[in-house]
Amino acid sequence: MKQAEFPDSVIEVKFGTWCLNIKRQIINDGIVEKELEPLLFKILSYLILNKNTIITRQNLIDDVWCQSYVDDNAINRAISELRKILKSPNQAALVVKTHYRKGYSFVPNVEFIESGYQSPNSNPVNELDSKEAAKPVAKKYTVWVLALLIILLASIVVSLFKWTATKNEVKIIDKSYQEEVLSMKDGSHSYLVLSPNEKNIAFIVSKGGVGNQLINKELDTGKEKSLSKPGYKLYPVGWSHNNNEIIYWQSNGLDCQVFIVDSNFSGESRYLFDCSHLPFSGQGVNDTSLVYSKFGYRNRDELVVLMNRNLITGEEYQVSSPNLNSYGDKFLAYIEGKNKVVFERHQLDSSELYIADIEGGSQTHLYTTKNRIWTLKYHQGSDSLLWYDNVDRILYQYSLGNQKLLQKISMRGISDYSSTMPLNPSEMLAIEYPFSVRIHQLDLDNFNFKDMMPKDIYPFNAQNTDNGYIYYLFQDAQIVKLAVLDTTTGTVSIKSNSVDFREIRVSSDGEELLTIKANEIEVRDTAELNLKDTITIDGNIINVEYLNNRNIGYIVRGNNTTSNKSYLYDRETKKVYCYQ
Amino acid sequence: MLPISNPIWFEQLSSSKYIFLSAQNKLQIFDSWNNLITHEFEISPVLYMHSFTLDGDKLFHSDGLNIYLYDFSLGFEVKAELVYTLKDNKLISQLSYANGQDSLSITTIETNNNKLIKVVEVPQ
Repeated sequence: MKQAEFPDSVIEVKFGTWCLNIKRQIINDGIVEKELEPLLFKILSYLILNKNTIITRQNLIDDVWCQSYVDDNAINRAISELRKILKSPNQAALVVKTHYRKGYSFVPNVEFIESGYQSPNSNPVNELDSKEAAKPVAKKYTVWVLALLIILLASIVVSLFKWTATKNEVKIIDKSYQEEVLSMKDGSHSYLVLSPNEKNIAFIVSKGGVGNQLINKELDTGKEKSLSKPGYKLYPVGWSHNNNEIIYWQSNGLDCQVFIVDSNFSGESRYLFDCSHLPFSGQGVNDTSLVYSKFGYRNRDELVVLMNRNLITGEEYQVSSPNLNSYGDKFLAYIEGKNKVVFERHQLDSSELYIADIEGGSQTHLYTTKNRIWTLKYHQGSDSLLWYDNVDRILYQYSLGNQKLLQKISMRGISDYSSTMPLNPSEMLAIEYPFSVRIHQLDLDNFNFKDMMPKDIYPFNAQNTDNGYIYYLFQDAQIVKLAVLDTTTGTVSIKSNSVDFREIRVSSDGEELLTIKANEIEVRDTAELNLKDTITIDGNIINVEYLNNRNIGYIVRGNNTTSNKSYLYDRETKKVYCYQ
Repeated sequence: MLPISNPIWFEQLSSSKYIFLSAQNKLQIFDSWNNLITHEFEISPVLYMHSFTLDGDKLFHSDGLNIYLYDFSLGFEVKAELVYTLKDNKLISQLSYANGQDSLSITTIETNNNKLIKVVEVPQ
């Protein structure tokens, strides 16, 4: 295995006219700054660290993708994307050379810049050990002075940044809104998709059973057309760029296929391609191409990637490269005048907003928010992006011109929504929240399926115990509470009226529970919730389970370049064992 | 060290055996005595979200609509057995199995009637 990561001491690498910042994963040529996708950063780092060597496809598969098989096209696409990013008016010379039937190599001379010490043309991989001994004493003092200066400079920059951030903080404005009903069919409305010219909306209405209706509604006149197929559920993906066609996917529970049909539903639907069974969105960006979110990226069926597909030839290429430790990239909007696509990168603990060319270049991170960005609208009049946060009930407006938030509007007088599409800061289309969460018990002896919860309680994270109790969390007026249900008597006891953890696990004997926060696990008794132990974790927890002997197993999310790690906490010795 | 790549869930089957779900949706049984992955299972494709629960030798998996059982008391060559499919617009978001009760607690999400609306700012 060749080296794939820079030593911690290396902070920058200079090659050609570019300077690669290791921590921020960006390249800069003094004029342009570009952020590198995790995969492209990894490939570039790998090529640099193994300069003077021809890197074969197998090397890339083993050490960069870390998988047993990667499609040739994925490698070609990634190398081509990297070359595109490394191209600039200042960097005309070749950076990544192809060796026919052999592989790739890195061409320019490389200079590694280390923290507090500059080592021209040195290779940190081989020379770090011997360098310390070779440094003269005077140079050591220089290093310390330099380091102090850097720290001083960094604190000034941080203070300035904090001051500017406070000054530029967008205050939340309260505004009142009222609701007008557009459709109240018998059934559940969902999957709202607005046409590019904002004159029509596509949505579905489901009413139990296997089928449903795909509806196209004219917003001005209220006229509707509908499409249904016996035995299939239809879901809108998006519109063609000229508003004349609707792209949808259908499923009968076994097969999943994507079709395109004229928006009046007067003609035959045309089959486009097969899909997975998870809802996805996209839009036609010209007469032949669809940009859409595709599930199943890197063999993980819940990981979604942004693709650009030619609907005539069926060829497609990746627009984005999400890392494995996220849920991936979800299409949000296509901006025709700019030929840009806006997408959400759904991290485990946040949502990141990005904009990129439809070929995937010039990818720019715009904003990070703790709640999901489910849908988004480009508002041409103000050159801004609008989205509604349905947890905090806030309408966000982000200026593309100024690359900053313009306003946050707290929307008063409205219901809970499951799907929204802002039209402008004063108007929004929305679908009422139709979901209710319940806890059922399935008796595996007789397959009796029984709703266990009292009415008007919406629980989550139910935990069964061997002695017939179900512990669960539920939300009551924005406050999360912990309760326990005795399944024998049907009585509910509130264990805590307000908790600050997001998940629980209960030992099978019902004597102990784990309360799980983003980076902390607490062990408590179930009787009085007395604290017995605390495990503080460096990183974000993905999953926690009780193992044998009440030991605790947990998985911590890796960063962009490393995998998730699993740990075992031994309750007796209080030692943590890490498994790669 | 367990050679499981990018796990997203794991549990302990016995003193030396662990079961992992990799990010590539493969269930892998790892034997820590001889440091080997002894068995591997492809799970059914996700229909809403995956959830797992293990107690004793019984592992239950849901793809969001169906519930499958891997009964390892019958050995590790066992195949997933479909035990239940939800109906009436319900989906599964979490499972919890109690061996002592031989019952599953299932957190479900149910869809009800609703309306499509236009939200308009009230003039000040």
